[in-house]
Amino acid sequence: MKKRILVVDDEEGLRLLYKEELEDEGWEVELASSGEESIEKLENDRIDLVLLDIKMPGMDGVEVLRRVKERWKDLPVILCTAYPHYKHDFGTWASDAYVTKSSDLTELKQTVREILGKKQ
Amino acid sequence: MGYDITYRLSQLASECRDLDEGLGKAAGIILESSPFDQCDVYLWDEDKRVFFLKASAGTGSRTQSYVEGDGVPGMVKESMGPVAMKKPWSGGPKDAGTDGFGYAYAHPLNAGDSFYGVLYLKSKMDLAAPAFKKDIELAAPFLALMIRCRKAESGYLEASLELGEAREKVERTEKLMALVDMASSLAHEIKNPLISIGGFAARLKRHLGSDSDALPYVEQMLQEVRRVERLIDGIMRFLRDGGASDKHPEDINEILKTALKFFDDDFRVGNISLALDLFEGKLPVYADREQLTIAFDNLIANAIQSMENGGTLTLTTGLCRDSIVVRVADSGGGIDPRNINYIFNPFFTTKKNGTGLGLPIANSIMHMHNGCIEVENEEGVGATFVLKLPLAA
Repeated sequence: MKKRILVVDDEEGLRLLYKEELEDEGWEVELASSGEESIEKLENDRIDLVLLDIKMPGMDGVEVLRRVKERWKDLPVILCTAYPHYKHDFGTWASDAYVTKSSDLTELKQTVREILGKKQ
Repeated sequence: MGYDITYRLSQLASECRDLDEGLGKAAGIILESSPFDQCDVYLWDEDKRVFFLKASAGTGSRTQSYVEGDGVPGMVKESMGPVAMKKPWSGGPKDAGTDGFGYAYAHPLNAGDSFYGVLYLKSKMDLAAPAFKKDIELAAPFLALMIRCRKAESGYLEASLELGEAREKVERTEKLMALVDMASSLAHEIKNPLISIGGFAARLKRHLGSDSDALPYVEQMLQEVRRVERLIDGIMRFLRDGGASDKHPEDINEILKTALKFFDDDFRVGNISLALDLFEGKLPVYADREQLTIAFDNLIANAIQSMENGGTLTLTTGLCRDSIVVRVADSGGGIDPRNINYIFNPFFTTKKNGTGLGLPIANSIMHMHNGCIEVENEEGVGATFVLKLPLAA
């Protein structure tokens, strides 16, 4: 069975880009446009990895991360943001990886492979 | 007589704005209107606890200053009342200012609770007090008020200048903070759509295949997107708070070599030769490796950009007492002296494609590491950026 990634980002263009790129890599991709929607999907779908934007209106990425780690301890989360300095925010320590957003998706795809590869 | 001296002094007080000039003229008026041969005004300096001569009329001897308790002025301050003395000057401290005189009379200069100094009068002949006492008693408060008014004026002026400066500083800080907020949210707003554009352009490139005529167009798009992305990342890095760094013991030579790796193509294309003179052995520094690499990266890029027609980049590392010293020297003709004070200001650039962020970022990173950057400029030859960092124990 294909591993399934949940992409959480409030930018429609980025959701589409991540979906196409990750599907090309052979993963299945689910999308959520807000923190609230991502929790709903996690409750109802089988998800193997969360790709999470930090800065979102409403429930932000740090809050989603906290809830995920409370309820689904073993579910890996990659934090993904425009700000390089979130790396040092203690709220983000619990994530399994941290990727700074870039139009070059090599690092992101590599990180996904490392994490999902490990779990297989 | 009494009316004459007070009239002339009050005229003077209203006309004269300068304290030195006013007191000098006042001393002259008092001398003319009294039987004395010498009239001096001593002001009391509360901080130094000394009297110094402020104004003088007459040709006799006078002392430039009296320390506390010294001479006739010292006696006046102690008694806070007039002092009269005559030759042979017994019963008081020695006062060289009385040399050549037969009689001395001094009056405190008080206004309200404040003591400002002493009006000190001397005569060659012995005098009988009633002939002048009234005039001096009238003149002294005039002088004291004159001093008080001028002091208040200059104090007010100073305070209003200071207030103005403080207000300007607050306004500048507020403007800068608003600018930082704006730049930060602008950078964020631009970055997301930019990633989308760049990401899809990369997909488009893959779809086109290597023989497509449209390939150069897409490649140009990708190149430009990456350029703007680097600029945005630079702005974000510059605006981020300085405390967030991840420091470990590192070797400065290793960090420098890492930074150099990215420039192989630039050296070749730009016809630039590299001269390395690295310290033999380790140069330990407590640093955020990623940040220091960025600082070197910016300085090397800056040096390369300054050598448009090729040249030599010389990198030197060494030790000077407790500091690690890194020198980044180019042969790009140096910096125009008119610009030298601005090179570390964000967004200042003289280059066609410069962002004006390379040097400010390098500078702020050095500060985060308790280091500094200095520039040695040799016009017509080149510029050398000298970085100093504390050596890790």
